[in-house]
Amino acid sequence: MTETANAQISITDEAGVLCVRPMGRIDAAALTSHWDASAAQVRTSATQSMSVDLSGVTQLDGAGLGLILGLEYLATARGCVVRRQGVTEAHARLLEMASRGQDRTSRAVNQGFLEHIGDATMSIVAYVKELVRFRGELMLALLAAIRNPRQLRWGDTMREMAVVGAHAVPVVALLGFLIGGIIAFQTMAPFAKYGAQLQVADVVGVSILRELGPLITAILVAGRSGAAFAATIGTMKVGQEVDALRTFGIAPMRFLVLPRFVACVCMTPLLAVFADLMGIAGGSVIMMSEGFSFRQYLNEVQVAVDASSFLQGLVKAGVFGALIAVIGCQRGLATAKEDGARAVGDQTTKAVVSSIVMIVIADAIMGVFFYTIGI
Amino acid sequence: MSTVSPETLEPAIRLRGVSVGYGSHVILKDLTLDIRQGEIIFIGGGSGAGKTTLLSNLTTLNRPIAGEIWIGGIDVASAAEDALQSVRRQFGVMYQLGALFNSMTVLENVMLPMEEFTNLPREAREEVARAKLGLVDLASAAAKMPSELSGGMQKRAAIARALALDAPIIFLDEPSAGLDPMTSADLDSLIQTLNETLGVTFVIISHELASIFAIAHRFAMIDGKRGGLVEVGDPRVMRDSSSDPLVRKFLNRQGVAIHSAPAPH
Repeated sequence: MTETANAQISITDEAGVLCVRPMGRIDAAALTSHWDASAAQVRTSATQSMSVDLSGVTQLDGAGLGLILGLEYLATARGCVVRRQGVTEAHARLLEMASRGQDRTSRAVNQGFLEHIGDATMSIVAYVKELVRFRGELMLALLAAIRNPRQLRWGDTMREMAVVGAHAVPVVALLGFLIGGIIAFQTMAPFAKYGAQLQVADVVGVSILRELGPLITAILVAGRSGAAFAATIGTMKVGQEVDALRTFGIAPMRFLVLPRFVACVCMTPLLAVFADLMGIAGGSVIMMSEGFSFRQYLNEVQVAVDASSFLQGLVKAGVFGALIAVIGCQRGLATAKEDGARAVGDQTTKAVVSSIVMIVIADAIMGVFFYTIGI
Repeated sequence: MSTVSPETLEPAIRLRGVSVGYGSHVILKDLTLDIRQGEIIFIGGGSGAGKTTLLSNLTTLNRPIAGEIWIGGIDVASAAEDALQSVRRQFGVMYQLGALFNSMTVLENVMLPMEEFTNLPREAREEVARAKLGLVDLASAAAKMPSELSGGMQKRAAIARALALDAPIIFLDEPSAGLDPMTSADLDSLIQTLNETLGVTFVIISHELASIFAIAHRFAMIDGKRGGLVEVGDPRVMRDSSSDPLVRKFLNRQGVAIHSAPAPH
């Protein structure tokens, strides 16, 4: 027998019947102190029938119901027949209510490894299909806006441009400057071995203008604006604002996606130009600390890079901007409104990760393309 | 069931000269009311009467501007944050939209308070949670996600979660909002059954007349414009013989609407 200040539970084997006798106040305290010992006794007993005598129970609350029904379940789970006795009308009503509709078979089934792979593949295929459909729809909306510019919501587009572009200038400037300085600093020592310190300017110019300027800008825009697109549109989806737009007959593509797309495609190249300039400026600081004049440095940069390098960077930035807007908005619209806040968080994370992955893949493809056509 | 009259017991919640509002803006002032153990009390009033503000003070989310709110021997108006934690174990809350955690199954939602505040082994927690879901007739939905439940089922699941720690007081914020009359009546009957079987005190913020007349032991009418508590008592008696015209108008709303409707031509 186990016993606490207010409750006791005696479990005895009487002629092949397991007799469970809870007494006193059967509540959360009784459950805490008696569950382990009582459950172990019921589980290990070999008897084929169990009698639960509630005549000594003075008070029974929700936790107490869990205790009684839990012990009964453990017994029936091992094929034992359970009978109740000494149950007052009030307790019978509670026990009847609490035990209705219990279904313990509907627990989650663990997926096998192959099923996981299959599920993941199917979700990737579905995502790619959705992305293709989404881009098609966006292109149609874009064509309609080119034919009739009043289709584009210019006010929203300007606001998005300010958020995507102007508000990102300080952070893009800081990162561009530091990256230019770091490249110059890291390449200075190996180049000095060959007396080619001035050629550090070539490295800074080519890497910043062709690759790092647009890439750093795009990663920043993906983190700032791509995430914001997904979160804003996702929250609107959860709050049924997107449904409201549809029922008004307003296409979310024109109302929500197009302004963001235009803003991103226009502002990412402009930010990339800014990152380029600041990167070159960052490199100049290191060069000047090595005794070169700013004019010497600038002349060397001009020798190393031409207009095509600069234009390559701009084209790349424009493509990156388009990718960020498409992925961010698509992820936002794909938010399942039933899943609420968590779905918004999931889609925002996915928007940033997919954008960065797609940016790097697009960068590699465009790099090979420009090399092949000889630019 | 206890045979002691609830009026002779220590009140479950005691409000003394309570003023509530936001910042320095007072919405309800000088509210004095005893909420008895084991009663179902509805607190109602028109839109903007201060019902939600009062609830946020009763549930310790905000502190009153003035006065005392005693729950379980502690004045929550002046208690330290540590003491408030123990007061919060004395009640459960069902919010208007259920506020179930969407990332967890219904069973996990009910188990969460036990996981945080008890040392029960997982198996025991699960048994208790299943019993609580049984009490609200949702045991078969234990493995479902909240998004798979209808509005009425979500509210019942939220009641099961509010019952998780066997708190003696349950606050319900607009339980009938958004429910059809049948589901609303089912919910009323569930509240009444839980009150009768477990002796839980229900404090219900609602202006749903059908529910008030069906299950309320008492009705407290509040009105910000009139300062605070207008009248408290048996809603049927108040409807028929209150000396306050606002109370009579409020509780006879449906009747007034029917009688004053123009006759069809």
